[in-house]
Amino acid sequence: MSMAFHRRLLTALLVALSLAAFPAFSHAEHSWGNYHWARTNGSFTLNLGDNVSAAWDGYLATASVDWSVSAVLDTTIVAGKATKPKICRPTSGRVEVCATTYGNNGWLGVASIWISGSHITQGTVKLNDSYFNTAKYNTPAWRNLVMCQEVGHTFGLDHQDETFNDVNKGTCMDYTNAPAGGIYNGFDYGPTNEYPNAHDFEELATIYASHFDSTTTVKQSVNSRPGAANHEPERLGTGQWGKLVRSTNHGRTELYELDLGRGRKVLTHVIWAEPEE
Amino acid sequence: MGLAPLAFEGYAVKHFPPLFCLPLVAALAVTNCAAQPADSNQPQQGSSRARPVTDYVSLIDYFRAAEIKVQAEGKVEQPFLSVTGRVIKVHGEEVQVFQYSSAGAMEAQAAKISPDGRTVETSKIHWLGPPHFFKKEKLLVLYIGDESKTLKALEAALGRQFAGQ
Repeated sequence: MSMAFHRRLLTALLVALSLAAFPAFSHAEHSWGNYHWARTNGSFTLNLGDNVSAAWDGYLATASVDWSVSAVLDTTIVAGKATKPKICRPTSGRVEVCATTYGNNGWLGVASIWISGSHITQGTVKLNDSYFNTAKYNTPAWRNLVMCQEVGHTFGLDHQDETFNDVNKGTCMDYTNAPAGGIYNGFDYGPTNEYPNAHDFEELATIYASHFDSTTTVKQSVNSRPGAANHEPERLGTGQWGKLVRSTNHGRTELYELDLGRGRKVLTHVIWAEPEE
Repeated sequence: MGLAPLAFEGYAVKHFPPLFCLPLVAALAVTNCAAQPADSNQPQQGSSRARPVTDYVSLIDYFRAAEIKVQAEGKVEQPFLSVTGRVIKVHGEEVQVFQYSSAGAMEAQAAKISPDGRTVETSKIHWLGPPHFFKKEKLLVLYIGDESKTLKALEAALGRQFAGQ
């Protein structure tokens, strides 16, 4: 049998195994409509344009790292192109993150996406320093919560919970009066809501690992392993198994890891067929 | 998103025809019924009987007539709404009032707001508290908070909220 046939067979089996795990996603249900970045294969890297002040840089970095724990997407902070944060002009194929004093208008942050059909084509995040410059909101917990949540929206995630005065769900996609958790105004809010949780990663996997598109709306998109450029056509499709975590025998055997959240992972061992002589 | 031109100037003249102005001139010592437009940033003195609420001025009139303390707080812009709004305080709580050029224009904007008040078209908004959206005629009114006296006053003037928590 040819190597191509071996690969197709192997791929089909592995895809079937991966899909068999998807019913476990059924309880993840906080996607924002059906909006998602279009991509043709694999996990993807989304650029986050940095249009924020130094006061925000650390929080943007934290959000970028936290969301990149997802098996289906990574984020990279790049120089911002919005030029005027007040307007926060979007850039095609990426997300511009802006912070400035937008006024006392009642909101801490706004995430906006532009769509074509159900595909996100660009996004912006606005963080309102009119409030973050006040003592109440100028705290690491509030800044982490809002930065994390607004960036999360630009992936196509909705809130897990929209009640302010209930126990925190341990995710930034949950509204709260007490982002740091613990006892606030006599009520025990429980865990911190500053970062994404496993349920968010589950939802991202549901959105992005379940299908690929015929086109991409992400600029600088598909991850490729260093040195894999020569094998690019042969590697297409490996992204559905998550991140490559080990490669041995000169690339003949590989281990991929797909994080399903809540501590569950799909590990995919691949033994590539020997090239035909 | 471009901002629609403001249409507040001259409302005192438009909504207080000359005959109606006469007693007000006496009561208010001139300014609002004069030929020049009133400063619509200041709530107008209302008549003793509330008129139907159709716009900013009549909303203020309504609150005055109902003896609800109301005061102007300035302007507000929302990146997801097409007109500049005005902030008023109702029972001490800030309320944002957006007046559109017509009831149709207001309805077109209102249709873009999700039932929970947290999404406008494809923008997700992290409000400081629970949002409450009201609408009537040309007005779109937003209150963020949960003060029951303010909510009741808004509901009495504008009807039940159409979006929010």
